[in-house]
Amino acid sequence: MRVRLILLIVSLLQAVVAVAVIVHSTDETWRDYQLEYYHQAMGRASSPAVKAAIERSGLEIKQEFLVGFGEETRTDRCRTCHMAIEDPNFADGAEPLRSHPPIPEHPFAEFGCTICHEGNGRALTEDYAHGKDEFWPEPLLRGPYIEAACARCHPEPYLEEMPHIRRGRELFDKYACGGCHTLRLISRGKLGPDLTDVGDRFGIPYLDESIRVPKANMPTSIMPLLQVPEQDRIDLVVFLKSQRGRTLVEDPVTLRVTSKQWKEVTPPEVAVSVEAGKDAVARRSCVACHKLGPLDGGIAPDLSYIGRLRNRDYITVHLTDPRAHNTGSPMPSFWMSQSERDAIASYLGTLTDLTIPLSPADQYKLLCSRCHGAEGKGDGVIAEVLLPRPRQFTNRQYFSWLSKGRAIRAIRDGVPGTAMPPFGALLDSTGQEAIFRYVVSTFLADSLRPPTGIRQVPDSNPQVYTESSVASGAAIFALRCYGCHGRMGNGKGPNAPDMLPRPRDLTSAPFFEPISDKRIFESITFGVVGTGMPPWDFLPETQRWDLVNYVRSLSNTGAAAVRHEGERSARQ
Amino acid sequence: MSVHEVVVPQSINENGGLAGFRGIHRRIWNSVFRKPAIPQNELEHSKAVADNFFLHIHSAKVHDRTLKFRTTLGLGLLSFFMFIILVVTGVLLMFYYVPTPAEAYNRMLDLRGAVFFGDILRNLHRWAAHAMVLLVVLHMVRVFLTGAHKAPREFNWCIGVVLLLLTLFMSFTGYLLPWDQLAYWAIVVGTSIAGYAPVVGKSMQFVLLGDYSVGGEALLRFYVLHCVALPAVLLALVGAHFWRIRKDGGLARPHGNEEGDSSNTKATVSHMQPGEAPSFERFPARAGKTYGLMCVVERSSPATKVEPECQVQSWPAALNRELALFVISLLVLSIFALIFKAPLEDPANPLHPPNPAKAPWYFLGLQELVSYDAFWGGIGIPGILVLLALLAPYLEWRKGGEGVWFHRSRSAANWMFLTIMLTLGILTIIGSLFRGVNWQFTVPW
Repeated sequence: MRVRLILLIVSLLQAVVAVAVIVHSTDETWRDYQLEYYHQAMGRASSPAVKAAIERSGLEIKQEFLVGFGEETRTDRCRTCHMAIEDPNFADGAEPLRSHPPIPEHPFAEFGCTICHEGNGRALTEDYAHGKDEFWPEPLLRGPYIEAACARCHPEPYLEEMPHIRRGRELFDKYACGGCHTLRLISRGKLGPDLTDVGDRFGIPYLDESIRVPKANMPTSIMPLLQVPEQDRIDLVVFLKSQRGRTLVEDPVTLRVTSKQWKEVTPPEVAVSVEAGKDAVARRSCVACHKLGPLDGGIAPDLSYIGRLRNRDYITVHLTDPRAHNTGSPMPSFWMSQSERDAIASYLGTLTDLTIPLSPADQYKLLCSRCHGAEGKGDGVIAEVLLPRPRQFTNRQYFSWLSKGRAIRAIRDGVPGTAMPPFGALLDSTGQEAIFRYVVSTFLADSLRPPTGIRQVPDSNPQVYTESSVASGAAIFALRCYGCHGRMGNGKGPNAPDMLPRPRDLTSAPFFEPISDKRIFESITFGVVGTGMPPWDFLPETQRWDLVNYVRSLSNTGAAAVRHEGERSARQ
Repeated sequence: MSVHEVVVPQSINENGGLAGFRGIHRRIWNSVFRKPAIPQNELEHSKAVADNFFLHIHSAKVHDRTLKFRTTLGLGLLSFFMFIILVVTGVLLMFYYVPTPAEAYNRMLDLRGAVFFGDILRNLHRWAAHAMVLLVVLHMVRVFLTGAHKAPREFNWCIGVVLLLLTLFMSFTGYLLPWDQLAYWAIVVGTSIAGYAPVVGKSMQFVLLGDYSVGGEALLRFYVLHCVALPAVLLALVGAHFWRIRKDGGLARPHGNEEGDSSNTKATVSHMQPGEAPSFERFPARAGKTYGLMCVVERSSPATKVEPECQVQSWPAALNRELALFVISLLVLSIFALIFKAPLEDPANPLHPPNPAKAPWYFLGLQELVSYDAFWGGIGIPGILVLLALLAPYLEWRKGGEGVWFHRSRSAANWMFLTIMLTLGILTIIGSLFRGVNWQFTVPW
């Protein structure tokens, strides 16, 4: 009997749960909307015939099967709730019972709703129909973003009715997005992700966030934090959302042919003249990142007086391969002809207009603060994108150990392999001395002490640069160093993002070429005070020299570069 | 010549016109059931069970001990009910599913948003699958701890071990079908564990995936395995498993009166007359004794009106309990499916592995072991464990302890078994809750 009682009770409970399941799974709010529509329509009906027609209508799911949009059949059931879109009487109605604004040549029966508005045409509850459920690839497009859907059938040149997307297209050039990003038939950048089908892969919030906070989705992103006003950002996102790889009016064969032709085009030649260079700088939107006179992208170094700091060769090489002088440079290599590079170099060479202020404080503000920051914290406006990062003058430990001679040399000759230019071209030796003194007194409160203890370092490398020495250095490196310097030695080890100053890029030839074996050995033996580099003095000396040789091999500076530090100034 | 003369058979014509159709409903009913629909007496009860295709897997009578909840905890039956629920919901889901990388994920979204009862179906299927894995494992634990795997039930235990492996494989193949990140990377991890097997590992992985990586071919193969091949084999083996229970003499039971509980040493039959103390043993030692339909006993029974040796009619005692257990399991699952949604993540993206990429939970113990040593964790230890499980009843040859929970004579075996199961359980818990980015140890709170 007890078993039968239990059976009875659980069966009743199961019946209750079954009802709950049915209630849970069948949200039929659309019936209420239809009743409400018929109720209101009755009130607004003009003739008895219309009233009679309403009288006759029953509640039903209304659906349109749509073909001919380059994909399989679409089913739109939107009008099950949105009953009034074709009823002019509901122009002032509240959603979902509201007339659609007039849109000529797009009859609903032929186009449906989701081809423009997106969302889930088959769903019958608001959350699902409007694509609000997580992971629905195409949530409802609202406001200006709906223009992104117009572009499916109306690609460039955009219609007048699509002002946001038109502007977004112009902004794409204005912010020089194409310098880093590829967009089929529009740009050829290779530094950032390809944006050809970005609208197909990502939603509005993701795109918006990617511009606002580039690191939000990928912590390793080197995309600069562009200063984009909100309206610009909206228009850019509309434009990006419209990029779905292929519009519905392009056929794949033609697209393939045009893409191929587009790829084979060589960059246009220009006259090698200052005017052509000036024109190219304007056309290429260099100021999207760089500063040039009053215009400032706030991301890259000041070009206003670049002619005083860098010669024409340097600039041409930098335009050809930005990583040639500085392996950490985030500057994209632009698709341009040699003549255009020469023209830009000629133009930049003429930018020498600079009045150097008298006081070291003003000099610091003008020349140094863009990278090193107004307070010497190494956090100037462009510091974030520079690699190696600008030195932090408030790092007492580091400067307590750095010799004055090396600091002055860095000011005078710049630091090869970094963004630090040779200021010897602007300041004479007293000026260099003065600005050094200013930095020390302002940011270090004159607390610079000479290093305690004498470091015993041999002058030259006793370990001959041989394959076996390099191999043994590589073995030690793989054991001890890769965590920070990375397996490739490029300073991007797993620990690197947490470290400031960043670990040195050991593959940088420009940096290591002028550096003596003695200094590398010293840095390995004693560590670099004020950085994450610890002393490795417990390693046998031969192993440390092997490491020096391995660094030589990584940076491709080989045995030939074994020179004393002092010789560097003589060479220059 | 009239139509009547041609069409109507002679016999009906003799009774006059269409009168022969009178009572046709009874004839149809009787052709289906052949017996009274509701059996009235014990003979009819027995016949109802024996003559019904769907019920004849039961014996007409069962020992009342079999029906006690604590004897089996209902675990085997519950596993079977999960299987039935999975088949029913699975077939319904198949109507909406397309096993291609382009469509599979869209179909998941459709099940959620555009198919009536779609999400409930998916939830039921998902949770029943997890429950089945868990219940099958618990059933195995129960059988071992009650010594029910010992002779003469060794082979049925082996069938059970194969059924456990099949259940895991069923769940594993089904895991890929939603084609989301969770599914994709769990299968990538799971199949690469298979790839660690010596010699045949890589070929096995290739045959399973139909490719060098998880893609469209793998999805199709897993679909066919999940929906056709494995359920067919599983169902056949479940049949064999049930059949062997009866052929091996019903549930394992203690010899003579050795059961620990003293109140069970003698039959206590409430409707016995005073002074009519039963003189039979509750569990006679005679081996291989089976009962015919008519409950014929081999010797005269001392007590009239008393079932020989505490047997009860399967109808209704066993059937009622089974039905109750089924409704309870359905009830719990339905409530679970109402409250907890089956997980769905981003669509599968072979370029963006989540960190950490985890196998399904029941393989996380293995993945944890793999994180120490790929071969031993993925192939060596699981292989040894399966082999041990298959050999267990043959290794434990001494008689005694059958049908008794934690029998004293079997404590060594029980402790060994429990240690292995607990270790696996702890590894699974560590793998699922305590492993974070780069498989580093993290705490879940």
